Amino acid sequence: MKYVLFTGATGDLGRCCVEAIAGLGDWTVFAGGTNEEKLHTLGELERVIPVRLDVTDEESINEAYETVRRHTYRLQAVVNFAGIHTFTSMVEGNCVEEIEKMLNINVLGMVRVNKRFFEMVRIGRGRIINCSSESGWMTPQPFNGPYTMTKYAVEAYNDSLRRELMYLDIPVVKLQPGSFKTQLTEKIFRDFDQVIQTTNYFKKVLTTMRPMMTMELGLDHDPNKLAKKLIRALTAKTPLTKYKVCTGKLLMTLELLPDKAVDLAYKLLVN
Amino acid sequence: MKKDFSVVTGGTGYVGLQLVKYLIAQGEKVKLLLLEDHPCLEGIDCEKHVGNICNPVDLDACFRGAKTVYHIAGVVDISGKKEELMWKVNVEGTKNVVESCKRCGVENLIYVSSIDTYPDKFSDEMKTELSSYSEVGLTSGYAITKALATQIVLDAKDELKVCCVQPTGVLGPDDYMGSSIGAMMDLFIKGLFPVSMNFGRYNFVDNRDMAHAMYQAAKQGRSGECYILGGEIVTVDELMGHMAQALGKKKPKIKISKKLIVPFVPLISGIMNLAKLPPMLNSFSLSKLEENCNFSNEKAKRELGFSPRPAAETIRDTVLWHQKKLRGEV
Repeated sequence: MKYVLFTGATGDLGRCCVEAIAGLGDWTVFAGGTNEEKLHTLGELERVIPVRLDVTDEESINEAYETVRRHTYRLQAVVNFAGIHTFTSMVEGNCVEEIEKMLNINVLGMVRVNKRFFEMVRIGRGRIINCSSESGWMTPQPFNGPYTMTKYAVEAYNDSLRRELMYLDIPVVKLQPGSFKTQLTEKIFRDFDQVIQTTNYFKKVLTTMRPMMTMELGLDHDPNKLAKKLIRALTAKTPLTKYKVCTGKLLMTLELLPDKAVDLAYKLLVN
Repeated sequence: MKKDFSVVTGGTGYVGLQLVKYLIAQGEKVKLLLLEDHPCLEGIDCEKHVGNICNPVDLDACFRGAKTVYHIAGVVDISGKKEELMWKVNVEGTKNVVESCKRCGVENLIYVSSIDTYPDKFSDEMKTELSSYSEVGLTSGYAITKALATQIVLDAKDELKVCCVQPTGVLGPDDYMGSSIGAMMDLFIKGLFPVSMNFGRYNFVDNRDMAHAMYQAAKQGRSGECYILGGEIVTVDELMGHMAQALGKKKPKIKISKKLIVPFVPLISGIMNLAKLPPMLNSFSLSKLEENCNFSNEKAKRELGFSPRPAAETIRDTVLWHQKKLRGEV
């Protein structure tokens, strides 16, 4: 039996991935999350062991480590899936607080978990899979700064870690998913609408941008596509350094343009 | 129920067989837990219990009524081919042994750990016993599994008396199972090892001295303690010299350097593999010859009366035993 620790397992996409891994038959998943109710339902799945895990809390991570250690000394993988999203202006509202919170979960959470479980992965001859995003490599969008900052940081952290752990033959892989219709998407719209309500300067801009957001985020990508890609990253004998899945086509086209042209595109969109 | 016998797991191995002989010589009743009977036990007055340490039921049946369990059975693999078996036997098996000892009311558990459980091998400091053991800083599967198993044993210190002995490179007679160094000695006796090396050294302990120390550990060792059982540090060239002297041969004149050997390691390793010989030369064994082998045996001397004999005597007896084996006299 192989063992994987999966953080962020109580989200919609997380659960879908956990189900897919457990469905392989030869993997047991330690499904980490903070939502007790959802952890309970995860525990009803075969080959899934729910673990209370708050990636912002060292004590919680240590407790999760002890739980995993009671079952195994070795992990064949750690999948860092825990993450949040906030849509906010960089000059209005509580952006500093939001950024701190998001960095703590999306970036430092990943660092903490990988650091604590590193020895288990090393002796299990396992691998580390970090969930980044298309926002981690695409040109940043306005009002999505904090999330983009965290995902750019994840990319930098992941690549540095990969080049560090290659000396120990531990593969480090990043997943770069596009948008999926989940509770996260709904939250993005809620945040977006709240910013529209409270902004002093960007009401027109944001109102004009909303349909584009709907187009981009409302895409009904099948979460199973992500799970399938994750399984590939998890089981490939020699995994790739990154796996992209369901990249947004509209945003992708902006990648072809120089910075000035992208700026102009966003400006023309409003005018 | 009167507890009047000792159990030895791995009793046919290099360390185990000597211990069995020693215990019997001390008047102990000995029961062996064996995967299967072995001709080397012929004429040895002991009870044999066929079973597997991976099966708790076998252990309970064997341990019930025992006063002391000497747990020696383990898998040593430096080829990487038996990694899973090593985890199963060394870690899970040891866990089973500890739990079974608790269930059966065994009073003493003596575990044969290893000096491979010590990290930072390339510093020159004198190593002394640690208070706890973990996988941190260890690279080989063998070292990791032995370190985890050692800690599993030590963790039981409040429930029964547990001691771990940590031998350095084991030499001595009765190498029926075929150790790597024994295979090298066989080649030397046959004249197929005509060269020495101008590098490498290791710390050796005699399996007969180990047997005495383990017996003493059961009698007067402190629970939750480890004892390094190390002897003299001998260079590869000195080893060859002692072997030659014991056999009345001339010591090889040619000494080859590490630089000369390294390119041929995969080839030599492949030939050893084809010849079904223990993997005596590979990158792992080469690195071991350059590790820090300064291990202090002071604690074992002080608390167990450990008294290692001179390395020359051990090497002589070992090589002469191998000579007898090749002649079919043992």
